[in-house]
Amino acid sequence: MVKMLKTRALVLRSRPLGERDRLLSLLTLEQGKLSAVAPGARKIKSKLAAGVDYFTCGSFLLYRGRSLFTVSQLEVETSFRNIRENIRAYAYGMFFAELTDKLLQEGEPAPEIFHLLFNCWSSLDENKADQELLARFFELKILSLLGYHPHLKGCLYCGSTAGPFFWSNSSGGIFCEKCRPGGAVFPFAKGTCSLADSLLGMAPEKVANVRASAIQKKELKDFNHHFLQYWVDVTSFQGLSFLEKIVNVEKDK
Amino acid sequence: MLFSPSITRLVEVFRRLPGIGPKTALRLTFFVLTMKNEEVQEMARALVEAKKRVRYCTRCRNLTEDELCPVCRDERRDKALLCVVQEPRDMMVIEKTGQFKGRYFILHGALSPVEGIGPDELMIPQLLQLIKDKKIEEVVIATNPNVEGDATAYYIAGAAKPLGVRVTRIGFGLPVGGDLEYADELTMTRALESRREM
Repeated sequence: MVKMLKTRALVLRSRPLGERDRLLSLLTLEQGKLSAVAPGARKIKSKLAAGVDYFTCGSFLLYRGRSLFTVSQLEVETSFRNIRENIRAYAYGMFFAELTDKLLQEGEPAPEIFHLLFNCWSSLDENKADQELLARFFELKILSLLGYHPHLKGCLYCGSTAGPFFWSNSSGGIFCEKCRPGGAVFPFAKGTCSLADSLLGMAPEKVANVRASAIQKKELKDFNHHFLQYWVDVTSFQGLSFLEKIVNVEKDK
Repeated sequence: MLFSPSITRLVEVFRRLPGIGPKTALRLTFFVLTMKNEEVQEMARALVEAKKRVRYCTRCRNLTEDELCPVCRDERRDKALLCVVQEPRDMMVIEKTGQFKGRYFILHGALSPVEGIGPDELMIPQLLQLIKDKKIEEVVIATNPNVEGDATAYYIAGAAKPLGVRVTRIGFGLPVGGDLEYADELTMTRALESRREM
């Protein structure tokens, strides 16, 4: 097994470890998610400190220990500076990182997800796209890349493209009014369904051109979280409740 | 079982402390067992009393045994100048310099979606009320220079500026005694941005 690993990586999580170290969750381009210790990274004169924080993309030199990797050297490529200066962008960016960290298993290469997260952080940094739509795009894309691609191109049974549709988690697709199965189904307006489908086939930089009504955004959010909940426990996502808090505080102003 | 239940229990208690692993916990346990009875009792009393007496200052949320901490009670302090820090330890570091003559507000953390810490948990509404009530003229934000500290600083600045107060942040730059060649891009960028006239 290779002892040293030189790779591009995104920092998904960074938390204090002991008195002076940091424990990182990295999404590497070649080897997927892995955990690494950044020794001494909390010291003010540490050479690693600036590169082991959230929203960092860098070139890391890691060496494999018994259970964890250790960061030996790193060079920061970009640190998405504007994200940390805008509380909403920060909250969305952290949510993307948390979702990626919780959905990926260690050691499974996921270069498409690496590029997806990098592009979505870039989009937040440039503040071009509607942040809410970007979050919906990210949720749909990451589920699709992990193998949970939803079927949104017409009724699963008869192929009808006339709405309204009903989403079924167990079937992984939509049904028309006539063919809707029994049990739990989620109602889905035709326009929102088309929006979700177009987001799924879109490149991240194109999300900036998408427009949606407040009702569509709300319906898409409810659908995504209903879909996510089927595979992972959405209530465990701290990032989501933080976003709600921030949005509520802004409404109160 | 290798050790008696009392020893095992004490080891478990020490292990709850930050930075204490199983070996250090065992070493501390054996050390306590070699101490004199009076010393052990004094240690136990100190722990219980500190926990019982120490509370948050009602004004700045510093740790104190009275309603107000010594800094808030000090009338010579500049009442119009307020420094916002993450932890009481950060306040101590600033106090050691002897350069800051204002008062403090301690957040006891930073905004962190991952840890579920939002503005209410940091008592930011209480901070804004303090700025209004005490006629603060300048708020100096001294949160950590990392992502969470930056987000907290920008959030406070955004909320405090409409109150008509001057909001500043402590400078960023190179550590004293460091070599320029080892500086990373982000630190260097910030050092250049906060350069000053000589």
